Amino acid sequence: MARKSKSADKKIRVLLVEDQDITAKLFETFLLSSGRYEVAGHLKNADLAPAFCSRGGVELILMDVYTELGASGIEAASLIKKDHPDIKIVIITSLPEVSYIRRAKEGGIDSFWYKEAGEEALLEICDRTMQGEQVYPDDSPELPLGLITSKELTARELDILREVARGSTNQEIAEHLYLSVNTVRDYIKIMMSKTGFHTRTEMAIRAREVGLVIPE
Amino acid sequence: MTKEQTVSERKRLYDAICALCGTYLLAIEELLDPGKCLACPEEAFRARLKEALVAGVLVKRTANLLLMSGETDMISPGDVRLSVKEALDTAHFAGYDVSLSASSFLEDNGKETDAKNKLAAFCAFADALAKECLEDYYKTARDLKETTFPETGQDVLLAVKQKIHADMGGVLVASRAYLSGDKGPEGTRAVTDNKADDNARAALVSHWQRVLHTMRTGEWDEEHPDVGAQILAAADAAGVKVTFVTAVPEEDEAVRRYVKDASAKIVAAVRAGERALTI
Repeated sequence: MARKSKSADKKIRVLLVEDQDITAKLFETFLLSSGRYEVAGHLKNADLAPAFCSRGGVELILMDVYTELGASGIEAASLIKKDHPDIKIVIITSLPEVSYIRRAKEGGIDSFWYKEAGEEALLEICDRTMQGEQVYPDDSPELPLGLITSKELTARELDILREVARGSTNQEIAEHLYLSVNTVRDYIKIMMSKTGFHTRTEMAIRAREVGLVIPE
Repeated sequence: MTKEQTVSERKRLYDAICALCGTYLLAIEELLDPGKCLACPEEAFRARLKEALVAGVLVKRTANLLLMSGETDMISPGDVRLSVKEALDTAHFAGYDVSLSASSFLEDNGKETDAKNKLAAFCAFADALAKECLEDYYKTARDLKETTFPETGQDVLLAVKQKIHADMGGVLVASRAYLSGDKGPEGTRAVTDNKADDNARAALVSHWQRVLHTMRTGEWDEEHPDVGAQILAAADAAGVKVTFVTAVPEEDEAVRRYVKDASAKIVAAVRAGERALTI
């Protein structure tokens, strides 16, 4: 009979820092149901998390942005990362804001995600974070499109590409986006030059295939 | 500032939020009216909940942008982008096939822009989404020009922001869990025969009612956290025995400092190899 190694049975110890009981219980259920995580503790006040982690034994923290008495999850997480860089931290919030994301990155916090994400997404974020990945919501996926990636296209170019993928003519695109037909033509020419595609159809099909644009 | 002044400022803020999000709140109130939604078949309830979910995320994000405009005159385009992204994600989760056909107003050129313009842009998007997703329950768009931001201290503003974050965020998490069939305190439901657990439905509707009450009145019960127990839990995990020689203060700001100091003392004790501590 095959015997599981001790390390295969070892579960990742998680500290939950969340002031809402219902949400904390839900996260605990998600984590336990995976079989890969166990809950080392639950705090409602982020300011106590550095003390909780001071002797070690915590490998991952799920931390809310705002906790009891207004204690800042990001501030506490940044403090923990200084003393225990090996502890992985995911900031979980209902209201991601750019300033929170920037402060989390500056504090060396590993990941940042939405509370509403659901079981599968939460566990995926935890798994990816434990594997050393940094996951943030403002990092739009970088998808290949010919010679470039999607990050090299501007928002306006993406608007036009979306219209092209929908099969709109230049005239229709111009009307929809309040541009002149010549401007639309120029944008498409620039995109084809950037991506290296020879025809707009080729570019549109590829954009659909990689999931860069989802036509209505 | 006296407690009465704080409560009064808080109410004025909630009034401003209701002026901006009133149509969405009205939609949720109709959709999750206990008289209508507790006895209806599960499928009908879930359809109502999905619409409420979309309205709820619009309330949460519109209110947050309004409060941000009270914190600063400028809002980053990235914040509007995050708000739109979350609203669209919620609509997709609720089963609506919607997408944004023009996104140039979300372009992040690294420049912060006038908060009112950004709020107006999001409101226009939110109205379009509401018309698409809320069917019979979304009636009229409100006039953004009538919305004025009341004079508010930063402390009250932050408290309201945190409250909306916790309330609306919490009920949206619970609703998504219910709809996903995830096991959870309010999300638990029997999957057999496609019948929901009545208690879970009632608990969720009651949760929504509490959140709506706070949104409409700006009133909530102040909780007095048991910080002593939490300090002991943290100290226990750190292997330090704590003896309290001072009482936990009563005023919030003082409690915050007390907890922070206690945490720092525990960390210092662990570093020094000490096993006992007085606080």
